[in-house]
Amino acid sequence: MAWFTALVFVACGVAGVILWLTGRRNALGLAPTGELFDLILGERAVRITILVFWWWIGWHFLVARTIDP
Amino acid sequence: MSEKRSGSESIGTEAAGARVRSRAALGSLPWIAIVALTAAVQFVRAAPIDGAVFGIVAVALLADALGLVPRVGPIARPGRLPVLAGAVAACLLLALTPRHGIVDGIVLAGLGIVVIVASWSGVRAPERSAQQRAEQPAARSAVAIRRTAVLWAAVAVATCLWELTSFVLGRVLPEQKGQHPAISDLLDPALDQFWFRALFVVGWTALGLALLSRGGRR
Repeated sequence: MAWFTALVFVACGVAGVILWLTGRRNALGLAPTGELFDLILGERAVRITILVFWWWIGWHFLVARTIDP
Repeated sequence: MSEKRSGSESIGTEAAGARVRSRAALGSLPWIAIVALTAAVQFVRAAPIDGAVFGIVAVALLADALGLVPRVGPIARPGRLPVLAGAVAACLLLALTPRHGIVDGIVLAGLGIVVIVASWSGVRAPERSAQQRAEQPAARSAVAIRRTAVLWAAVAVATCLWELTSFVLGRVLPEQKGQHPAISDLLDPALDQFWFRALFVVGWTALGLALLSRGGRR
């Protein structure tokens, strides 16, 4: 079961990479991810939320307790 | 007559501005809810510092949406060299010093302050020459942007739901926690290896730089 849980996480990551690459090539009617982020990060709440999540990932894995007891 | 017209024009402009602000405030509510929910999850997993960070950010965003925070102008865009030098220094310190150590804590706290200040005020867009503006590709269609946004949201929501499921199952069925590992459980042992930690630090820093270079006040 653990392998299945890990597999789903890997599948989500692969889906993200495919989406990014497809957008870069303007294929399937998708826009480049950078253009999407240019648009949504213009709003302060979105910008702060996404950057705080990014910061927390670093904090969680490098500084704080990573695994719950 | 002209005074009357300019007065009514001014009222109209103010009303339009208020409508735009209230629309932006409404649009920020789902994001505030996400941050508040994350704060609650952090308190449940007994991580009070993490919970406090998300909680303070949620309150600050709510205050901003309600118009209680004074407006601040965008900050000047820093030069590439200082940003790159700072990023390289942060990478070296985070990769070479012991994980969960005091140096990592100081670097992350410093980065957190810089990122919050930069992202709260926004960064001024770079000046573009007439030639650069002319060479800029035409704006993407709203349909393509919406389709891309929906697909990215689906990936993000699926990842978060799966993580939350693993977290809840690990809590409810502690004897089966090993069967439902969260992302943290999977990555933690690998991050103790120097090369994986160095790769993680470089990838994480590059993502942060990419995010900071997008959006802002344009």
